[in-house]
Amino acid sequence: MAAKIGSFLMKSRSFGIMICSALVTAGLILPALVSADTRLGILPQPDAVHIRLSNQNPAMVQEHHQISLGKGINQVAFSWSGVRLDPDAVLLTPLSDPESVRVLSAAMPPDGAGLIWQVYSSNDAVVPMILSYLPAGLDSLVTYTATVNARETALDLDAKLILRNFSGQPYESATVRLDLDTVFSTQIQDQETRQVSFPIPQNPEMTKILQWDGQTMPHDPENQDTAVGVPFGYEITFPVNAVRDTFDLRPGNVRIFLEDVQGRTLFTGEDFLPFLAKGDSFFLETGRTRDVIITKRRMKTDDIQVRRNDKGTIQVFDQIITDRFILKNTRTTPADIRLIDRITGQWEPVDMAHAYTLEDHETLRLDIHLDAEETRTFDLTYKILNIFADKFTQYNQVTYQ
Amino acid sequence: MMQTFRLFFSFSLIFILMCGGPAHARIDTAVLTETRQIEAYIYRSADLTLIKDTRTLYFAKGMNPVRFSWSGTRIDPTSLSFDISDKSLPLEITQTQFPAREKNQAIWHVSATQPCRAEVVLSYFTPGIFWQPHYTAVLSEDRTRMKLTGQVRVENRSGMDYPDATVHLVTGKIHLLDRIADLANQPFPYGRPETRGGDNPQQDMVARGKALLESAPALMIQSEKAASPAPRAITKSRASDYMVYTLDGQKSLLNGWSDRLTFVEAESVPVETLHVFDASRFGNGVMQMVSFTNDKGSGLGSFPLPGGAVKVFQSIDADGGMIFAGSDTADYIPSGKRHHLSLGPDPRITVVPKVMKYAKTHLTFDKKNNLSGFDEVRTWVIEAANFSDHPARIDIFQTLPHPHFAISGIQGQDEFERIDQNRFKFSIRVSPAGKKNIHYTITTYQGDRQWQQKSVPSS
Repeated sequence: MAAKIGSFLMKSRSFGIMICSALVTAGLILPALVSADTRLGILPQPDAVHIRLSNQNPAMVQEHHQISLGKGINQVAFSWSGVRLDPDAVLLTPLSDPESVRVLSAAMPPDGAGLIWQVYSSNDAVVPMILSYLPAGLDSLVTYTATVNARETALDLDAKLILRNFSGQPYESATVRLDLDTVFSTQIQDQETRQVSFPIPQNPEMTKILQWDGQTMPHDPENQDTAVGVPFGYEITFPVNAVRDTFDLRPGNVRIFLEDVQGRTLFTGEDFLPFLAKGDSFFLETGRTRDVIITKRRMKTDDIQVRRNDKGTIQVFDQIITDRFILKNTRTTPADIRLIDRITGQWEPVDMAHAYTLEDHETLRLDIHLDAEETRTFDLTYKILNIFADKFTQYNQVTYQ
Repeated sequence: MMQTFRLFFSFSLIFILMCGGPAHARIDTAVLTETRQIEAYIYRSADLTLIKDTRTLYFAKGMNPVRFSWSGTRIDPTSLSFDISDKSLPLEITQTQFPAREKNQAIWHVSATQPCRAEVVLSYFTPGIFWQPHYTAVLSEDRTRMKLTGQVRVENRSGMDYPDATVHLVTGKIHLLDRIADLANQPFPYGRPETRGGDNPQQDMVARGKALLESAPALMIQSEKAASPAPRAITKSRASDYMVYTLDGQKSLLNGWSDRLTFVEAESVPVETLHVFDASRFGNGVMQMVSFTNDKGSGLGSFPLPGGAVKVFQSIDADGGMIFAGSDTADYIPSGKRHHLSLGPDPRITVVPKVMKYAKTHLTFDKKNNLSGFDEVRTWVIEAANFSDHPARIDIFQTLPHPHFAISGIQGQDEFERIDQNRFKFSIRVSPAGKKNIHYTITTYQGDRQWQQKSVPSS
């Protein structure tokens, strides 16, 4: 009979989810539902539907139902068609005294598209219950629009939630909860996509920087066939003392616009923002500038402290190296540059003409401010020690272990 | 359609009426007998269910062939057993026959010195019935406790209904020589030798008997016994190294259906939330873990928990609202053991290990001045940050490729543990929006230095 309940429900709609309660005399089981004693109960529409969107996890739907239960054992049937659900993650939770209403067991018919719970009630009652499930095909994306002021000192971040419903189930009136404080109501049909703006309580702080990384950028750009340009963008940070309801930024594409001094809004590029927690920072690359040219040249390499074996084969030596950096700002505005370079192996500074910060043992970060139309040149001289030339050469590269 | 196959399953007694002395009339008939009791022992580690079918039969004086046949379901004929419960009755099972050219049939020849009624137990192995535990965990809002519900899904795909069965669910790994499904599909119960015998002269009679059996109506699906207002209890017991979970009362195992039954429910299991960074296992992500102990203090009793999928939800308000927090698969959890559920990476917790300084020291050379060994000295800093609103305990594991190393100068950790010769662990507690750094130095011995490490001065 339970199968017949499922069939009945499925015939009633092409696709979708439906719940019904069947009140039966206590003591009968599913096959007995065909008997004349059976009376199908109401087909309750949910009082409320919540779509819970949590970070990186599937959307969860919670439907609040008022279900009429008779004293004794009741059958509550939930079936779906054209919807993919994990039946092990379908939960029926009575919101009443656990002693008076209890979910005893559940059965799934042969087609695997329904569940029939046995629910015990100590009295005839209308019981509030929550039906929770994880439908496949219902998810969300977040996209951002960042508008930067003309002076490139502040950024206004707007977020949009894209709710995509390809679950097979329409939701006529749902409360969508993105996080603790971002809740809105919407309706969404099957195969429908909705975009909803949601506020970001506080804009992140931003700093415009040009970021040159010696590992990826050409060292002699003026001799390249095409001008590659130096990546520039905005480093955004939520200050640690951000207001309490400032939430983490979910991953999403960021389209960046610039309001210029003429009042126009110019699209300047886009980047992907990974998950950004409160207090964390991320560099959004928006484009490349060809008005700042950074050149790195190796000026000198001296091998010293050379040690040979009895056959004259070099075993170990040191090197003193001088690298020259030439930075040209051809613009009429200043430029803040973050220069990243690496020195591999065991090394020590000899004569470093610019201050640097060690990100780790091999990564140097130089924060450089160039005035308008300024050209700056400096040398970094350092010594690499204990370079193996014969055996153990793999240890000239430092591994993380 | 309740079932794809309308199965015939009947128990027949073909008996010979002995009418006074050696002169007797022989009547072949089939007496459909009602099952009195069915027990199903469903194993988890193999596609195997032991069915014990208890019935009452009437035996006439003389030889009573008892025929058992099946169709639409699979039964391992080598497992068929027919027993008479009361050994004091004047009955003797003289032999078991698997008729020629008749698949799925067995006949027991039961000799009776006096007519009598007897309770008999037919048992056999059948594939196609499964059970799978799974768990639902609902974490409290503060993540200090969880409601853990363990359920079993019993699924019958055997092609056969087993009404009002006593169901036992058996855990533990059993050793099998053959798959039961393969044995059930063999054309001959025990295979066949190279040579073939002649046709059986009894063939027509057997065919007639089978036709009679197959024309019998199928058993009606019967109502379950009165349900109790409480969830069906599951009794747990040990048998050697196996665990047996027995469902209270009878349960109809209807073909094609599956049932979800609760076998453990604990309202308030104390849990500890921690984060784990272990690059050798999880890469650069920091995994969020929830741990609990399977013991009486947690409300979980004193029995092991069978392994199964665990779906974890997080309460977000007092009105039943919750979000899906992640899923994991728990292996068998012995009693008293602490278990960690992994909820996936938590982007709000970051751990970045960095080598801040690197040096090669103690270079050694052999007699021919070839480089023969050295030490690598790495000065590490592990930068941990908690961008969440809750305090976080973070366990940071590090694994080295060989045991020839020394660790020194540890600072900033709350706990340090050397797990084995290659692994160690730091534990730290980081407040909300807080950061913490751990500093230490590892000296790794290479080449000949691995044999001389005791001479290395500690740094």
